[in-house]
Amino acid sequence: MEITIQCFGLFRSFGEQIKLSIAEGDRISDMRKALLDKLQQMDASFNKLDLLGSARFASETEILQESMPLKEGMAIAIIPPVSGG
Amino acid sequence: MGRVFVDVWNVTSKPLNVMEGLAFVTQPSNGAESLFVGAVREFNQGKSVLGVSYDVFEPLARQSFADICKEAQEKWGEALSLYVVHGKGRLKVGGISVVIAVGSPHRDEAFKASRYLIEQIKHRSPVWKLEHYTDGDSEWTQGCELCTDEDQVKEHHHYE
Repeated sequence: MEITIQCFGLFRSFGEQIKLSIAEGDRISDMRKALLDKLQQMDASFNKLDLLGSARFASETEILQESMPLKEGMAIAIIPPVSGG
Repeated sequence: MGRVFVDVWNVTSKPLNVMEGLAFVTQPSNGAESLFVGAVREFNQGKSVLGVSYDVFEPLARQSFADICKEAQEKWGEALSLYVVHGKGRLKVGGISVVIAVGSPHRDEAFKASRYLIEQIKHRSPVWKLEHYTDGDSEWTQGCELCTDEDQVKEHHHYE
């Protein structure tokens, strides 16, 4: 199944959003590996694993739990470390 | 009962307005209004800065500002009036990136709530800075791993 990741901060270099194919029943925590593979397909030099590891994922209203199962067609945002103010 | 306003403005079409923030929280029941203004600094970590582009996930940012304001009213009283506007887009050095205004019956609550709002926003709101340097380079600032509540923020000690 396919989901959409909306990009922010440093991940903007990959565009506004990324379409990602994941397995049925995958949770947020499972999806990180698929996302890393996709990012490295798009940019072979991408090696910021710590940045990806420290990123959270969110809907428009809340930060999503790592254990949350993903659903076909979902759009979620990647939230790398923040620096507002 | 105080009033609350939170928003994200695109600074290229709508610059942040300090006086609007102050006017919003001013009420006859107040004995104090406190104002915090965040601005783009000319040097950061030894580098000479031309400006900063702010990236914001707007719906979640507004939600986080509203949540944090509600917490401040729970801590320091529902009489607090609160105004939070964060900028999005590119600002030059000296440009205003965030305006936080607090109106309160007494000054202690106004100062405390103002400090609470900016510290929580820095750790909990989805905002990112792309710094532009005088040497032509641009870099996303390192940032702080997103916190989801006040307890997590207490474990991070950034008060720069």
